[in-house]
Amino acid sequence: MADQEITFTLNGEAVAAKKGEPVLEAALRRGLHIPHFCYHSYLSVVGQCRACLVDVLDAGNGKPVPKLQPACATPAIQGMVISTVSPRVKEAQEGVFEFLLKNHPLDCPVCDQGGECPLQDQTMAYAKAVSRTHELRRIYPRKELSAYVKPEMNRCVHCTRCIRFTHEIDGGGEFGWASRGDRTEVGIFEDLPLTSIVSGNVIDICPVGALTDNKYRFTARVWEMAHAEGPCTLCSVGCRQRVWRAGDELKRVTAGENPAVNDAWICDVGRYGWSGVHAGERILRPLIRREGRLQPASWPEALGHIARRLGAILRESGGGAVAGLGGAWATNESAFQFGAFFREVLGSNSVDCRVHPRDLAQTEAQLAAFGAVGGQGSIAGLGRAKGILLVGSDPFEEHPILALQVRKAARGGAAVVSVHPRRIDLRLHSGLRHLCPLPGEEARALRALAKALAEAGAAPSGEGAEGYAHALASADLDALCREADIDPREAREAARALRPEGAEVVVLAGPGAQAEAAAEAANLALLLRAELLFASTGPNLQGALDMGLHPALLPGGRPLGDAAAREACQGAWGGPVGAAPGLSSAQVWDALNERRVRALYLFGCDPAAEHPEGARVRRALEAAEFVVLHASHANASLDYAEVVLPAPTLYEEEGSVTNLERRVQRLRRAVKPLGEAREPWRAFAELSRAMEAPMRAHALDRVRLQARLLCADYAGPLSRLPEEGVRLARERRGAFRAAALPPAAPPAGGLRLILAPALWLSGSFAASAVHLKDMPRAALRLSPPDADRIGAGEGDEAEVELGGRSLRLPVRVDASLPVGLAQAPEGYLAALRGGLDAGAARGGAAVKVRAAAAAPRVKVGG
Amino acid sequence: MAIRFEKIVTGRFGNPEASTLAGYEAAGGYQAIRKILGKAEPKNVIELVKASGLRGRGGAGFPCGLKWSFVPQSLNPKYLAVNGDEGEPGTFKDRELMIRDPHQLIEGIVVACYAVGIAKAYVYIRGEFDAPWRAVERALGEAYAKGYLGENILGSGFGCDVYAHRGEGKRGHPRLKPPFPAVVGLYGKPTVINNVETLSNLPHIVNNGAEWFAGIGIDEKNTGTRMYCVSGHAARPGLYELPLGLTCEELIYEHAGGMRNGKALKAVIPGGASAPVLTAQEVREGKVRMDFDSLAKAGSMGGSGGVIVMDETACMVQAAGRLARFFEHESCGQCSVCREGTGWVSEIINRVEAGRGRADDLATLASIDPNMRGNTICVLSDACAMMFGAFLKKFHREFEAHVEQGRCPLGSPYPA
Repeated sequence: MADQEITFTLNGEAVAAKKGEPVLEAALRRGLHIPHFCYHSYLSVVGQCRACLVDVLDAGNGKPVPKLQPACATPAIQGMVISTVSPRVKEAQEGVFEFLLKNHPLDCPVCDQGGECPLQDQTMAYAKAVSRTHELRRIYPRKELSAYVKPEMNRCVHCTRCIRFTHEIDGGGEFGWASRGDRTEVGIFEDLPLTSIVSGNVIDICPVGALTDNKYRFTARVWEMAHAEGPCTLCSVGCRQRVWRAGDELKRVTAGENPAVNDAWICDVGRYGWSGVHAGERILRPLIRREGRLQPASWPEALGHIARRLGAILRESGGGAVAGLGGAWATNESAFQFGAFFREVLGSNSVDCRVHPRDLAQTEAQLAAFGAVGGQGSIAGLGRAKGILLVGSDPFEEHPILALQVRKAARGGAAVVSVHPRRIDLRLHSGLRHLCPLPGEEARALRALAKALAEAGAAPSGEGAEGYAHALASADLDALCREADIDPREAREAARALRPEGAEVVVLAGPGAQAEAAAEAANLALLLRAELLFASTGPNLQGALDMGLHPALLPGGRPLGDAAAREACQGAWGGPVGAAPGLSSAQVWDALNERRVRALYLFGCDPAAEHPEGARVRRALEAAEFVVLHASHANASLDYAEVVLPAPTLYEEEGSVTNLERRVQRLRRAVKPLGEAREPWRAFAELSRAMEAPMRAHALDRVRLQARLLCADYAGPLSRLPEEGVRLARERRGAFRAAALPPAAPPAGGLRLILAPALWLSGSFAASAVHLKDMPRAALRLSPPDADRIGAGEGDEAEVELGGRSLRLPVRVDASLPVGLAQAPEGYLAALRGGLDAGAARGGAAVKVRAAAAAPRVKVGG
Repeated sequence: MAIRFEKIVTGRFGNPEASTLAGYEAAGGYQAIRKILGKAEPKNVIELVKASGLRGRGGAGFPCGLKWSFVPQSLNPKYLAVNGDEGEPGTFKDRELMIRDPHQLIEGIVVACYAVGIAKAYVYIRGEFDAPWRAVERALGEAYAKGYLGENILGSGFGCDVYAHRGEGKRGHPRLKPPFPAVVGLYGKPTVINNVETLSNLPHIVNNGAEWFAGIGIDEKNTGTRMYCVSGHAARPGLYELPLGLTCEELIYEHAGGMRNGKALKAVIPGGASAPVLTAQEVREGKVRMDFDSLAKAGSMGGSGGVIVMDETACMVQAAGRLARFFEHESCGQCSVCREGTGWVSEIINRVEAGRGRADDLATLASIDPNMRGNTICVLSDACAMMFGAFLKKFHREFEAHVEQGRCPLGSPYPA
């Protein structure tokens, strides 16, 4: 009934609407403009600006409404007759605009919003041309907000979109208003600065130049720029964004709208990560190591060098001696071509996009449970769920837009249960339950939760149900909880909360869902008949897997053992495909050490820095005979490379990418490739020519044609993609896996360190993005008692000692951590040369921390 | 028609003991709830109040019983919000009711809660009201101690809690209607909002009957008394509880002692700052009566009962400018129209008064007026427009003279 279609009349034109939706929304969708400022489709309706006043000539009951009504707060009713052009509406509109402009400085020539300003545009369309004000305009005391959002509050028209965004969407509630009447002031409390990771959205929604982009302002005018709209490629969520360029330079990123993914919001990492494109760390031309140093070379030289070296290894040791890693930071087309190059040209199945062991564990867990990776859940489903189970996920730090979706669901009444060693913060006042197991015991906590669910009446059904039911029946809830260090009562309460009658539940597994926890998350999704999302860090991990970057899976996810699948590949590529599975990313390192693998091709990845077992990986890279690094940015693996090929970033490439919910979206080139970077799919084709085994796909449409042939469900998306993309959902059916849990870790003494990714600190791209340097610094997080114990306060430096090595990091006191647990950002420690390996040990690595230096005391104020 | 003079809500004002529970009981208090709790059907209480013709004493004069009947019976919890804000300049009646006879208010609250089926009432007392706050808090304590509040009052099986609050914990913002407070009100629940004076009438209606109440006042739509808060240039300004339907002249000359120093009456604001001003001529020639409907007919309103009397020495521009400052100050800042409009109007009028008026100022003012009416979430903007619209229309010459002469012709010192 809520979605009942009705029709009303606006200025004589019929407008279709959903019953009860705001008249304004329906009119705008129909292309009939009604002026507005405070209204925003994704924020609550407040009806404050009064610009959208309309004349309701017939309220659907044959009677007019005496007063003008705000169209934003007027629900559409069948048979309504509305005018926005009657004399009294015109008079009211002119009045409202006169009031809005009463204190608005007419400084459009020096205002960054000029040219894309709803106040400017709507004033031209609806206001009287003359100003009658003789009074001085309002001047607020100048205040700063953050490194990203530049306030010029004298321009504020008090629409309160920023206030509602921070209260409703972001949850931080930083913005508020003070004073009354025409002294009403929108702003933040000075001791509560704007630190949210989604703060930049207030720039997009501000309808005037009161909140502008501090990084972009005064660098271009909007009419000088062109923009490309498509998915963000800095994490696996794939938020729709607009990337703006002037000439050959990127200028800024603003949010795009995709109701299925990001509504109208993007995170600040997405907004400012583009600055990594123009970073000094970019690899702009091929390099060859000569006399121990990487030296510039031409493409033909570099390709010829690779062809000679690989050709010799192939002749001597066969294709099995070459392994390839990466592809999760590439387009589907380039990933497809990477796989084809390995299987067809090199004759090697040792190609794997899952460089991080976590990605390996999560994808293998999905393959075991569902026979395929991804497609078991949706982001929109997360936003409207009635129950959410977060497994090892801290969405605000890892996938901020997913955090907003979880918050949206919670505002709609969803119960949220988080299984994470820390008490993660979703800025919810209620509805969030924490089960905080010891690190590494997430799986045990999930098993306990499953047991509690079974006690509450949930019964496994389908494949593997019997075995799982047996495992649950024989499990002892109290023992599980004791070993995982969670409270059985809380486990039972969480189980009750997650079982709303007939309501949709979504399980979201984050980076903390490793190994057994990933498998147990799949079991819980099956038990709860829930949607399941795995949130990886690589933006296109899902697409790369679908394109066949897996040692045992061909494009389309078809197993290597399937002769028909191999034949199809041969038909497309021309050469035979070996039936024996290659080496996975987990097996490659030992193989390199043992010289079974002699050459390693690193495609857009940096295992030397990002692999949690850095020392072991670096030894293997050292042992490798020949390493190619094909990447956009110089990274820690560069030291081991003999040849370096420049790759464009995903801002510079056409193609498609697939997000974590398996939504294929079209990527448009926002700026032409920098330096000599060329599209990887093209580079692979050229390399194949240099190796005298030319690939058939030498143009983008040929790559797509092959991918469409081999990946059945991509056939549609790769030929035609709607703006919002296409989600390739799979049937929600899988098999329970009642694996025995590993023995409980012995009680840990002293301080343990866990590593967790923070989106703005992870990877060479983020590290190089100059605008991200204003995000919170990498820090060692300690619980308040632990910080007290070592005598370090917020911002002080601490020396972290682990495995005989030490490193200095600033301290962040974080009450979400239990006593005895410290956290540091993943990828950051290891990125420092000779860094630390943590996280290899289950349950966190034992670490010694001592205060090193007090923070410089900055005088505040006066 | 003869008007019956009888004091209702201020009947105990002369009795200093009435503010205490013992004094109130001794003066016949808490009999009304004894009469109805558990004995009368709640719907019959609503009918009684409807029959009495009691209209809201807060400002709009909406029939009280009718308002109660809008609350959906099936939705619970429901709340009663008691409006003890009394923010309108010229009004000082609820303050006195809360200080001098708080138990009368509490008993009225219990009657209303019983009638509508409400278990929780909140008396909103604004931050500036300290004495009323203390008086009500003390009275609530006494009433609880004696079992007039809380569970199972007087063994009737009916219980209700009353709290004195300074707000809902939010910025004071009018909310969009619909939904109306009767459905979505305080804390998002169905809510009856009644003024302190309105509720204070209830025990008397229960004790003496609807007919008795309806017999006071001028007709069946204007029953009972009003507390007129006379201020300004009257010889004896003060609080007068008088039956509805007296003329304005009777109020000023027979009850408030006439004009101060024998000066001539120039203008009267009959119902608080929002009520359009009446000229002496209108008051005299129209024989304007001070009941709800007569004042509406005269183009003004009964409002909150604040009667501001001005003599020939008063500058109408200065008066309008002072009132405009009030609206500017009280505008919550939500609606563009009111936030900017009230400030603009205040700036212009006060500039005119200060002798810096511009030739086009009066035309600008006149054209701002309609834009401030009917276009906002609440009616503060309308009230401001009604105020300065009436001053500008009825004393246009005086405004013009200010602009022409570049000074206040009456020599009013411009407030610094």
